[in-house]
Amino acid sequence: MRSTAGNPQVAAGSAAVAAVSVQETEAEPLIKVRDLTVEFRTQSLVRAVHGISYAMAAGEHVGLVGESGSGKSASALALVRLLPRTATVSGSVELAGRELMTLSESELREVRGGQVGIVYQDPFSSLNPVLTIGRQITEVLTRHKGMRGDEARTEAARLLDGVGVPNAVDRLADYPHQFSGGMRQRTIIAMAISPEPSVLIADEPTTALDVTVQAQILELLQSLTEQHHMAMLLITHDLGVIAGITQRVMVMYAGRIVESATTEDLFNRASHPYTVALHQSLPRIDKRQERLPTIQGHPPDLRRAIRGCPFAPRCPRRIERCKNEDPPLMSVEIARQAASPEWTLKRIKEEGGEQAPGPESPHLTACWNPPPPSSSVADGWEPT
Amino acid sequence: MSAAADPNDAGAEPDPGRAGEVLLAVEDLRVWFPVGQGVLRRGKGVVKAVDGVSFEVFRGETLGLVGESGCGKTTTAHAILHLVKPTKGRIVFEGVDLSTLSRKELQRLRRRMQPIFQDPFASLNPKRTVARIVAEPLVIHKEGSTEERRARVEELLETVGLPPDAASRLPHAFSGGQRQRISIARAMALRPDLIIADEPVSALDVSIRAQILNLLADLQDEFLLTYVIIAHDLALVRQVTDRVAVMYLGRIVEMRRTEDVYKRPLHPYTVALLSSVPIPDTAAEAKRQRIILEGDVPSPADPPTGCRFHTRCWLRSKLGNPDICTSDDPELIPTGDSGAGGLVACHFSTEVSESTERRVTIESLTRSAGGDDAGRSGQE
Repeated sequence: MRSTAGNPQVAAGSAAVAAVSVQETEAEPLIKVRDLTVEFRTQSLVRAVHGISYAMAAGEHVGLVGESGSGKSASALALVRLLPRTATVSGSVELAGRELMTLSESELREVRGGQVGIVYQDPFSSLNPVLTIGRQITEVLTRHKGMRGDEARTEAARLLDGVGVPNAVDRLADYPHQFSGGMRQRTIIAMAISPEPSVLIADEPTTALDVTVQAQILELLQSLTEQHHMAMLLITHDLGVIAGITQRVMVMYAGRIVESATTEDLFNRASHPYTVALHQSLPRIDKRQERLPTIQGHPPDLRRAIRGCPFAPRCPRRIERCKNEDPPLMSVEIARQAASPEWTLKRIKEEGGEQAPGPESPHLTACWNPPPPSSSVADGWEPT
Repeated sequence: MSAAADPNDAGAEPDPGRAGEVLLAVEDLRVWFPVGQGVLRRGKGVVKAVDGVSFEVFRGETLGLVGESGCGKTTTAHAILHLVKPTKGRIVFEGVDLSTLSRKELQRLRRRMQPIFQDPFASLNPKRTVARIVAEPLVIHKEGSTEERRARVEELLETVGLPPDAASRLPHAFSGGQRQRISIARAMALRPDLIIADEPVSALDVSIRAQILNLLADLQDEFLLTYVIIAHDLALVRQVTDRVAVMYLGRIVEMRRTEDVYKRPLHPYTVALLSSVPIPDTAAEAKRQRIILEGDVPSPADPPTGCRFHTRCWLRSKLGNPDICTSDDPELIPTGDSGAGGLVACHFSTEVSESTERRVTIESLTRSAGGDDAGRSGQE
C-alpha cells in the first residue's frame, strides 16, 4: 500500500463526526504497524523511517526515544499520515483491526483527533491565535461529539477544569496569547482527549516548557491516560521523561528501532551500544561526573544508502559483521550468539529470534555484538 | 592540544597565580523594560526583568545562572555584555565600572568578554565561510595582519577540534555540534578572560552535548577561562559549574557552591526545581515524590508583594501562610556554609532544611553518589 501524506496543518481538532467507538479485544493489539517506511523527497530522497514494525496494546504507555533525525516523530505522525506532502508513506497501520493506510483523506480526518489524539511539542503554535480558547475547544466537540451551543460550552469548561485550568468558565473567552505555555499545553491536552481517543500520540509534549511546568504536564498526562484507559505513544529525546511514565520503550536510530524493552530493562540492562552510550552521555542531576562520556561522531546522513549497521561507525563494539550487514531487531538471547556468520538471517528468523516489539515481546536489540547485561557502567567507552 | 598563545601576545598567557580574584562584579543590577508605551497602547508601566541582582565571578571559576523562563537570567547576561543598558546598578570588570568608560574604552574591554549563544543555526552568518566568521572579531578589533589572522583561525579550529579544511566551508555544511564549535572558536579568537554562554548546548542533540561540554572544560583548563553559563538544565549545571545562582522573577533567591545547592538546598523554589527534573533511572523515578508547584511564574510586570515566590510556595501553606511572606521581601542572607559565602533569600530557610520534602528530594538526588565531590580546578 502506498499513499502520499495528508495535510500537515490538520491538527488534533479538525476531523468530522463522532469517533467510531473502538472495540477492545483482549488478544488483538490496539495498534499494529508493519514495515512502516517514510521517505521525504527533497533535493534528494531521505529515508526517515526504515521499515519499522511494532504493536501496542490498549492502555499501554510506550516511549519512542531518539535524537533529531532518528525518525521518531515521522514514524509516529505517519500513523495518521500527518506529514508534509513531500513525504511518502508505505507499510501497514492497523488501528483496532482497521487498516489506516487505505483510508481516504476524509476518513483519516475522522480518525485524527477522534480515535487518535495528538499533542504536539509547541503549545505556542498549535493553537489558532485569532480564535478564543472556548471556540477552539467547542469546535472539536462539535466535530467529534456533535455537541453545539450551551452544551458544547459547558463541556468545554468541564474539560478545561479537568486539565487544571483555573476559572475555566471565564477563561473560555480568552485568546491563546493570554494563556501561559503550561496552560496552552493543558488546553491542547483537553482538546486531544475530548473525543475519548483510544490512543494519544504525545510528540515531545514538554520540551518547550519549563521544568516545574513539565512536571505538572507529565503528571496530568499520566493521570488522564490512566483514567480513560488510553494508550500513549510518548515521543521524546529525554530519557528522564521516559523513565517516569512509560512501561515499554523503543529506541530509534537512523530510522530504525534499534532496541525495544520494558522501561525497567532498558534502564538497567540496555542491550544496544547506542542506548548504553546515550544513557551514559546524559548529565545526571543525581551525581556529578568529572567528565561526561561522549559518543564520537555524528548520526549517518540518511540521504545516502547505509551499508551495514548504521551505528557501526560510532560504535566501540563494532565487529566485522557490523560493517556489512544491517542487524535485524532480534531477541537479546539470540543476538548474543549472532556474531558468528553461522547465524544467517534465515536461521535467526527460523529460530524465532527476529521479532517486532509488542506488549508481549522479549527484550530486542538490533546488534551483532550486544553489550553485556550489566553494562550500566562505561564498558569500553573511551572518555573522549 | 597545542598551546594557542601567540608569542607576540604575552599578555594573553594565562597566569594561574591570578585565579580566585574577582574578575566581574555585578552590583544591584536592574534592567527594566517599558511596556505599553506608544500611540495606541496604554501605559502599563515596566517589566522588571532584572530587579536588584548582585554577584561576583572569580577568575577561573564557572558560575551557573539557572531559573525558568522570565527569571531574568538571559537579561542579566545581556547586561554584562552591554547588549542591553542597565536601568540601574553597576557592572565592574577587573575593578573598572563599565558605565564610566568611553565608547572606545568599552570596546577595548569588551574583547575580553565574549558571548556564546544558544542556537548555532541562528548565530552564524550562513553566507560567510567559517574562516571569515572566526576571524571576524580579529577584523573588528584590528588584530594582526591578514596572514596572522589566517594562522590564528587555523590554530583556533584545531583548538576546538575542527579539521583545517573547515575554514573554507559555509556553516550549512556542519552539524549542530560542529557549528557550536565554530561559535566557540569565534568566541576564543580574541583570547577573552570571560565567556558568557547562554544555553550553549540546549539546541544540540543529547549525544553531542557531552562533546561540547567537555570541550568547554578543556578550554577552561588550558586558558584559565572564567565562565558564566546560563542554563535551565539543572542536571547539566551540576556537572559544569562551581557555583550556582538560582533566579526567580528577576532576583537571585539562592547562590551557593554547586554541591551545596544540590545536596542542601535552602530555598523552597530550589527544592521544587530539583524535585521536578526527570532522572533517567527507573529505580530513582519510582521512589521520587515530586513537588508540583501550583500555576505558572507570575508576570514580571506585576510581581507579587513580599517574597516573589509566595504565590507558588509549597512551604508557605504548610507553615500556616505566615504574613511575613506577603509583606516583607526577604533579603539574601549568608547561609553559614563553611567558608563558601552562600546566600539565600527566604524567611524560613531553617524550615526548608528541616522539611520532609527537602529530605525526600535530596535522597533521590544522592542515590548514586559515584564520582561525587570531585571539585573542579580553579575554585576558591
